[in-house]
Amino acid sequence: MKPGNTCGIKEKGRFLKTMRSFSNGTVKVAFSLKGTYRRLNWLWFGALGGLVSWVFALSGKITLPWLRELLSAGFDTDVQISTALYDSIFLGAAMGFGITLALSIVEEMGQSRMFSFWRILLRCVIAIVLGMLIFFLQELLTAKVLPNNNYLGHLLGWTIFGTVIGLICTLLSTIELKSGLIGGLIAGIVAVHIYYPLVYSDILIRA
Amino acid sequence: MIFYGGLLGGILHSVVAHLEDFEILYLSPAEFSGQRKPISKWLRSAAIESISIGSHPKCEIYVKWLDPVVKSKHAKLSFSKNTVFVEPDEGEVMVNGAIINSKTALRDKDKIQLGMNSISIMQLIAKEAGELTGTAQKNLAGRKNITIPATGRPGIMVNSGKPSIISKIKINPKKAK
Repeated sequence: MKPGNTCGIKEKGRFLKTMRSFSNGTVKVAFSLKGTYRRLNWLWFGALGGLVSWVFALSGKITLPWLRELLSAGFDTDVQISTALYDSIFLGAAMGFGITLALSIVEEMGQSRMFSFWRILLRCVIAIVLGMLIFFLQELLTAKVLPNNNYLGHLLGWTIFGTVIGLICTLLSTIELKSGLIGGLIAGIVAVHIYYPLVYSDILIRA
Repeated sequence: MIFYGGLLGGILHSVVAHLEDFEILYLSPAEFSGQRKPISKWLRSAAIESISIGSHPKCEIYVKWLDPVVKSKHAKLSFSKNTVFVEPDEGEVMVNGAIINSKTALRDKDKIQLGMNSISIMQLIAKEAGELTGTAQKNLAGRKNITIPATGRPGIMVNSGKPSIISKIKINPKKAK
């Protein structure tokens, strides 16, 4: 561009300004707390929580030899399930943390009190512990009690997980206990029926 | 997991919002107008005697925006006999344009303004508006309805025909936006 040509610079500036205002506006609207966008916020944040869980489940797996040995000694009898149990514990922790973190943030944003990180942290800690327990029991149930019925094991596990997340979301929040439990239960049942065919489509095809 | 999280969040909120009985809808200032804040849990909770409204960060209905008129514990909301009541605490409270001095029953869509010159206006949304008691009916009898013009800002016109003090203040529409 020639040094004297300011027209191009002006146009570029105008274009950037338009783009910036458009992106700012779109982001503002997408994360608005008004009307339907408030509901969509929960969807975005839930999906974001799922993404965080996925990243943590992939990268946050810590090698704990003592836990592996403990699981192997306790559960590896005729079938070796300790590895699956070990993985499920980390999956539960990641799912509990990610989804509760995201839903707690959106809940705090939507209430009339001052935003509190402590309430979010408390819910996340509880969700990690309960998530580990639920996924461990689900894996154990699928392996020991329902070895030929993968679907039922997952249905139970993920439904209980959804209900527990709903319950955790009611802790120190504006959500009533009854609403949280019903919401979590329905959400858990519906979500597992969409999640399961996507993840375990090979099992369904074989069946 | 992303699908699961999104569905869980979306459905959970839909159910929770459907089961919510009482909400506070912010009408003014413009930046916050249209936001609904659930209050059913606090109203029904035995542990919380009343919901405080004010500029103190520990208030349940925390006035986050700058409003010099609003006191730290400006007003209180309480719930008994299936009716929501509002009561002034440290500040002046107007319900549907009329100043109240004591505990007053609220009905669905009643507007609460935190003082004559306050920009903080909110509305009670009661999905299951219960039968009001005799006292509540008496409190409601002398009320005047207010309308908020679509032009924005808290210009309040009392239905009696006389404009309130706020509506007399001339505001530059460009600045108000």
